[in-house]
Amino acid sequence: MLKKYAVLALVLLLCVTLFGGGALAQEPITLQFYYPVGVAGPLAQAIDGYVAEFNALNEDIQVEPIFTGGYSENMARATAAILSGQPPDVAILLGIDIYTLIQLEGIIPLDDYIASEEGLDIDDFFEAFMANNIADDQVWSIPWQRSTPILYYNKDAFAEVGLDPDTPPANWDELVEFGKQLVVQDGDNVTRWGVEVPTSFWIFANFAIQAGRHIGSLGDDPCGVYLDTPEAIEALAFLRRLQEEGVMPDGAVAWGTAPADFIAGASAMIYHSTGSLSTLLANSPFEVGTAFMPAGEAGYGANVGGGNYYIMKDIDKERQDAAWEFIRWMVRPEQIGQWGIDSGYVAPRAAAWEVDPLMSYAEDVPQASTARFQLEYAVKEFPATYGGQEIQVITTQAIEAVNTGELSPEDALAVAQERANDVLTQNGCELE
Amino acid sequence: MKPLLNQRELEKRKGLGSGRKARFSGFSLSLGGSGAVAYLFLLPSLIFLTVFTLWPIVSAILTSFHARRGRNQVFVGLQNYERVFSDPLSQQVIKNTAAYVTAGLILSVIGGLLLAILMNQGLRNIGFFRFPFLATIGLPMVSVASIWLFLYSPRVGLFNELLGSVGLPRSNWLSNPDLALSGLFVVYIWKQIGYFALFYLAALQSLPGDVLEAATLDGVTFWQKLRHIIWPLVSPTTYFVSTIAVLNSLQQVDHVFVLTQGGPNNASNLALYYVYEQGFKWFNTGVAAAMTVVLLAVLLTMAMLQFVFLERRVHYN
Repeated sequence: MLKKYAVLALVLLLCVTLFGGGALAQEPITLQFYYPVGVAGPLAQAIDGYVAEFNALNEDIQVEPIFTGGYSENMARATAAILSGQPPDVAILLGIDIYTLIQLEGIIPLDDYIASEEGLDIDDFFEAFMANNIADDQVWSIPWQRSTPILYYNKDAFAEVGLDPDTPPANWDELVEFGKQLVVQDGDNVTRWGVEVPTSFWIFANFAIQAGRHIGSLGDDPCGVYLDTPEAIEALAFLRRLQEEGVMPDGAVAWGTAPADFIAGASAMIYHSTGSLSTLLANSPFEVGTAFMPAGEAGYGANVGGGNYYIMKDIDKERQDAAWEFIRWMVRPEQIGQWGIDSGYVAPRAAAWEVDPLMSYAEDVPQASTARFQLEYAVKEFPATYGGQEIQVITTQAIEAVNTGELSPEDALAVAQERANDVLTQNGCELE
Repeated sequence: MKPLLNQRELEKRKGLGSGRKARFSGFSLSLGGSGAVAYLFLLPSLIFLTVFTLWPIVSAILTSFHARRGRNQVFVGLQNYERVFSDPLSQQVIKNTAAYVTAGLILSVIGGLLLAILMNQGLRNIGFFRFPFLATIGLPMVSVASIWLFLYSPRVGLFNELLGSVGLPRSNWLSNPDLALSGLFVVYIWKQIGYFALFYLAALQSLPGDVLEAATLDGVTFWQKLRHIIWPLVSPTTYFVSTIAVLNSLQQVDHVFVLTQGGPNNASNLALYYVYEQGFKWFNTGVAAAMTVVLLAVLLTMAMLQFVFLERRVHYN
């Protein structure tokens, strides 16, 4: 009798252990997912919505989205987390931060995942959007919120001053000429500017490319910064000229101010990320035109931008696997196409444009394709270097110094180059 | 047995005086010749002081001799200090900070005193006049800066509207490199002047009324009274205010974040914001630590100078 009970007890114990073990195995992996929002609009809701959908579809993987502010706050938080040994599992970070992240030993290359059975057709992604993702012949990130700047213009304002609303300025001289016509003055007070170019390294780089030479490296070189070239000086002098001709307001133009001014009718044209497209279309009380950025001496030119998915290094293999599954789900053609519609970012893979919802959207909203076609002239984003976060600020400060009339383009860019060289040297670059 | 008890009693009576045994509400502790019990009671504060004050100082000094390479800290000797003293950016930051602190010191003392004298007038409903100046003390700097952001706004801001309405040229206050730092400073002093005036107000109200009355009867002018009676009598407060003013102006960083982020082109970059940028935006922890150590050294020196020189001239009743 006693023996029988003992056996029963043992069986019970075994059941409990097995069951308990089983329950443990079913505990889902919870991924921490850092993401920034770099443009105007309710994009955080969109991302939280996609994640909720993913979580509902997956029992074994749950993603916890963590909004981390703008791009630089996001990178600061990720860097702090990596240095403390407690990184998130997956994060959207700027494409240009690749070398900094590799230097921090914070991320893993994704080639094995891409080539695996549960892989990704990486050749489907646009070449310009892969330029910032490759180092040492390895792919380190998957494109997500990718963009180029484009020219937004107020078609109603064009019609009002007798310009053809379907003919945006094609080159720098036309930009000045159209801009002058679009300015509206009330006494000494300008109530509508011709154009606003945000004071930003990312916008400035395009002008340098249009003038004939990029300020960043085009290849796999974490030490390439070319700020004091004649082309860069010409580009910055042109930005100053826009102010001297009374087309653009004096002083610096904040990144967030330009779209707000455009919507309010206080500026007839702005340079901004294509990621702001949806917000501008939805909120402007006039017809919004989009165009390639006007060409300089060397023709059209753009540098790409935006954020990619990275998988972190100091986490378990199974978490990395789960992160890959999440990324793969997010960049499905339908999903990343939807994201393009919700935000205005350029869906970075060809397949997304050949299926709905993006296919019919692109037919209805021709503005959505401008940046995609501009990709033909697009190159790698600046500054994809060591210490890139600091070099971003250094470059923007040079533009500020010129736009506020403090320094000449030559002097400002010479100082910036010197400071950038310091940062590069501190990070182990050997410069001639 | 009796002698032994007496012996104990004797020792108890010697108590703290002998330093060997102390009696605390009914129980006694062996002291081993020193103030062990005192240390025991000090221990909690000592632990906090060590963990949150002493160790960070030591850690900052150690970090200031290192530079981050990827994940590792490499010893670089005095290189970070070289950068703090020779780099054009940090030189500008030091210059900005020095101007800011000097202006802060002068205006806190003079402005604070004059404001306090105004607030000390025996007017009816004086509380009504005091309130607006003192209310700013309670406001968080971030809210203050956010309000001033609108006042400074180039398009819809109050200042430009006022200037425009009387036909004067408008200005882009915070994106003008010549005005940005002053713009920050005005916000700071607007918020803090009431705080310093409060100390002076307290000092003024404890001044001997008979002396001032006698002076008035003797036909002494306001400026003579201020120079020869009030100023010397409030000198302890001036000493206190000037110390606090220097510390305070070095510590304020919130409005830099909200209003200018140090721009344009670092025209309004202050030491603490520089430390934040270097340390927490770009993770140049060594440079940030070096600047911190320099700041600490400056503060200590200033505190000592003020202690040695001002203290002597301070008139305590």
